[in-house]
Amino acid sequence: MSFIEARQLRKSYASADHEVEILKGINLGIEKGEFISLMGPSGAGKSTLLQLLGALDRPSAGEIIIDGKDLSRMSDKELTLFRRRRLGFIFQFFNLMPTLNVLENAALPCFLDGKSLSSVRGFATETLERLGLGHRLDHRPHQLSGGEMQRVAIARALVNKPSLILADEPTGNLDSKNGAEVLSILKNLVKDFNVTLVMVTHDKSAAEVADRKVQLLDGVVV
Amino acid sequence: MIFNLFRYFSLRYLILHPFRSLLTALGVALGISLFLSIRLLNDATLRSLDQNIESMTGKSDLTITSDGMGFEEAVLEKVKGLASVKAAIPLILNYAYVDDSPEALPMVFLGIDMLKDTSIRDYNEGGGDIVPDPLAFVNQADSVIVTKTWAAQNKLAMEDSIELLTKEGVKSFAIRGLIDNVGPAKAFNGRLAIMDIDGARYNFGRDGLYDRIDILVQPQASVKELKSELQTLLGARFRIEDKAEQSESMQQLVKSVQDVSNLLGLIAFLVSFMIIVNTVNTAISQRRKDIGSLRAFGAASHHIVILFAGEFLFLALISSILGCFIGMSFAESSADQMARGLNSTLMTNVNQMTITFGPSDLLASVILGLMSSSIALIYPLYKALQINPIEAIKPAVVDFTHHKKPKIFIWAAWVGLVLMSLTVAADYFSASQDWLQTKEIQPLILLLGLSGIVLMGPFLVLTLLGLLHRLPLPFLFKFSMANLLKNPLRTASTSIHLSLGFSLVIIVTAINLSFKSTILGWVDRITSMPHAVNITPWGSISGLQIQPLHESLIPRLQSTLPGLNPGNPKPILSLRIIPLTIQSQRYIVKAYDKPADTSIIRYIDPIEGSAKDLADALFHPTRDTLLLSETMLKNIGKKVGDTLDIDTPSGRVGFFIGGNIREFASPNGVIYMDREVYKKYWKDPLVTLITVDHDPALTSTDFIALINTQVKAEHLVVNLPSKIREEVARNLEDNMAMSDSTKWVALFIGTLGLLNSILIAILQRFRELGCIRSIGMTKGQMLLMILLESASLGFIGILVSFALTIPLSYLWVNSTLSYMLGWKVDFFFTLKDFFLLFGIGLFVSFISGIFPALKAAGLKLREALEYE
Repeated sequence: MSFIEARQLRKSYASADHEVEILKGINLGIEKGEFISLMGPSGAGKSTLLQLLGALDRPSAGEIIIDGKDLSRMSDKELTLFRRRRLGFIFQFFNLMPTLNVLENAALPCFLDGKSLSSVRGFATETLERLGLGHRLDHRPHQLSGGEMQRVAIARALVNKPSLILADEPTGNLDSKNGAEVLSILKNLVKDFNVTLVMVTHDKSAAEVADRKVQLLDGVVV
Repeated sequence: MIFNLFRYFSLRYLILHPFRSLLTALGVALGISLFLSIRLLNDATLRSLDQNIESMTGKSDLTITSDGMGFEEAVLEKVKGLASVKAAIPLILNYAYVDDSPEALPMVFLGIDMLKDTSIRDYNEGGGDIVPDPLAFVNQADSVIVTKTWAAQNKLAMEDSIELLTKEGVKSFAIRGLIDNVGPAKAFNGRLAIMDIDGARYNFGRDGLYDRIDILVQPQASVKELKSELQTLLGARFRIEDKAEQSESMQQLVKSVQDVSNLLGLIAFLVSFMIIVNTVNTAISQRRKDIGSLRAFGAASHHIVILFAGEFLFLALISSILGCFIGMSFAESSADQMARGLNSTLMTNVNQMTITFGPSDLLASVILGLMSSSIALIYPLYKALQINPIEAIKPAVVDFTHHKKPKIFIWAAWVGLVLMSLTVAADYFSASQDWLQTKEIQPLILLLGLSGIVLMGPFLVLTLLGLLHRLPLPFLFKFSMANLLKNPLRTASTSIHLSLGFSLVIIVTAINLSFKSTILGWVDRITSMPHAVNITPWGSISGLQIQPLHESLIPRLQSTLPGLNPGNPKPILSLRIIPLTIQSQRYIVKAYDKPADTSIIRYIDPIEGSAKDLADALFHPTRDTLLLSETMLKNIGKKVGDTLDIDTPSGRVGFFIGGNIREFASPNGVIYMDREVYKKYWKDPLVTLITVDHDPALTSTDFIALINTQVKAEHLVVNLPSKIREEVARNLEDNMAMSDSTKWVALFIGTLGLLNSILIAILQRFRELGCIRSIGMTKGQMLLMILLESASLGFIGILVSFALTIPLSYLWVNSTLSYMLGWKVDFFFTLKDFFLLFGIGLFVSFISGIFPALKAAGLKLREALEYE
């Protein structure tokens, strides 16, 4: 069995007068330590699939098994704890907390787990330094460039040492130079941290960096 | 973990948005401060009354009192004859003035048994004799004792003399004793003088009378049994009370006034409560993405609860503590005015309002702040917990959605309409249903109507905004309207602040104006006798804190005063005013001299029948008749034609009720009677006020100038009837001071809420405003647009407040207040008042928009477009 198994995955949303099926029976397997990119035109279902893989939403039908655990059978609380301890997220718009500084933003998932800053300071600082942000630890998000903000978001995704990282258009809001830098970081962290990375992107060159490309069209893998 | 959430989120949000935090804190603090100041003032009033009782009662177990002119001295001997009585100490209590300045405070004169009184009351630190040689003091008839404090204030020493108005005119007294500011002296704030009881009775025209007797019960005897024995012995005219019962009587006396202030404070607090609701709501909607991200990272429901509860409960805690300080200074600054108001209206003796703030006040304020914040948090937090982690993935874009008017507003408007209809029905049926007339139900009716206003307001505001938007107005104006209509929820919650605060302003203004107009209109009517001036002793008639005059003054004046009306065989008439308790309620008795011609009487304001008929009934030659105010008739459950039994010093007398009149001297009720009838049963030769009918050839001012020297020599004051109007107006101002302050503070809280809401709305629209600026809107246009938004919202909010509140105020003034305070008041609100309040409302709305408008105009485009 693969590290991630999606079987006959379906997702529909109720519209005003009818139901819109976004995912129409996805079957997908992703191995441990694999870096895959999800590609496809707008409306293909990339973000929806990412939301389901990221335990942010539940499928209408089918199942998702990650590391032997069936997400569709988990309660809300179990999904929350699963996200907190096993997953890392990287968003297109970074989603940093404006009230926290760089170090605190990176340590955020640990705070939610009841850990103090001092207990994770070492690992968080080390990760941030590795990402070239050692001199920015006390800065707030509005004092950073887009590339720097995304690197903080990457550090945050790593701080709980997750087994799976989900990235939604991580370079979508960056210029080409910063985008390339972020992709290089992502590529390396798969190796260095032995994590699985699923990245949604529109950008073909970005998708090339992944070990495998998965193409979606109208809710199915093509 | 809790600490981390509080430290990294709750506290940080507050610190990073200092202005918004400050506005919210100030709004809540002001609400708390109103609650607290009213509580502190009410406590101080009750404490002052208790202190008076405590210091006057001293060590005694029971006190015997009777209203009006005191009671006959034979009562003392009867009381002393009871086996359970260890000691019975009589006392005379009288007011007198040592100068005639309008601001002069009365001196309280106690006539005491110099040898025995110290067995129950202390006059010096450590007790002991009041003066070293009481017998020598008594033997010198002009002896008087004053407090050391008062003597020092007036630069007087032992053997110095002071002049006092007595029944025989002004007499000189020598200070032959100085006492400490303890016991009764403390209760009257040092303005206390003491005479031997016989000297006091003689000088103040109280021959053969006592005002009270304090009793020490034999150690083995039962106080309860003695009380019952005394009541049987003396009859219902006498009140026999222990300290607790005296305290209870006083609390009952001030209860209705305190109930009204508590209610106003509660409504003002509701305005500040709305600030918390709105701030929490907007904080949560503004942070949807943050909440979504936190949820995506694994934040559980309780983390979100802790985060917002920490932020707002901490803010509430700080606000409550700040509110305590503001509330204390409110209370300190209003104490004197409140005491004057109570003393003049209810004839209480509140002299020393000491505002004390204790741990229980702090605790009550903090609990109120935390509880209201917790309630305010419930719904927004519930909504926050519904936020899906998918929000984190949604891009930060301008919200171009045009929200429809949510159905909840329509439902709320219907519920509001039902509540307002219930209010109308309750007011309508209050006249016939006794259970609706209670002081517990009537405030609920008021709150019911106010809730109706709050629920109907948003729907009406949005509907009117929609209509305004359709008018052919300049682009920027229409654009502002469109902005307000785009997010109805935000607009509605913003308008609620102003509407609620403003509704309170309208209600209180309408109530105060109606009171003022009704009472002053009545005073104008009753003092409209032509060619009349009043002669009074020094002091305030309305509070009855004066030394009354002996009736022998009247023939003396009649024979010596020049310029009297030659056409009137009785140009000088007098009036005696005394308090009287019937069935545990305190009323006012006004006993008038019969004029030569009853058609000249102006003071009778009939509810039924003509003034002339009621005057003839009042001075009926054979039947002892009373005219009763409508509130009194209601209180005692009688009607015209019935008989009212009153326990007089001459025994129980059945009086015929000859008429129903409008009277505002006491909220409980007023009794008019012929002074001859009064003298027959009360044996009281004193008068409170003298009215002189002067020669029509003279103006009243010329007449006053003509007699002034002679009247001044008698240490009396001669005034135009308008002086009474001024005194009543001043008393009204004192009584309304608290409600006036409450309404302006409520408006200020509402303004803070409005400013806070507009500011938050600007921040929520930062990206949108950035977009508009990027496509060519100038800073000036942006400034104007935001100001137009706040002013239009204010304009419509105020219009809706007026439309909903004026009809309800009409009902409350005509019904609710009559039952809460006892007076039937006519609704009064002029167009001038409408425009004045409208102007104030528009001004505060405009002011509220200035800071947010400047902030919006000054936004940096790059930041606004990148803003998350």
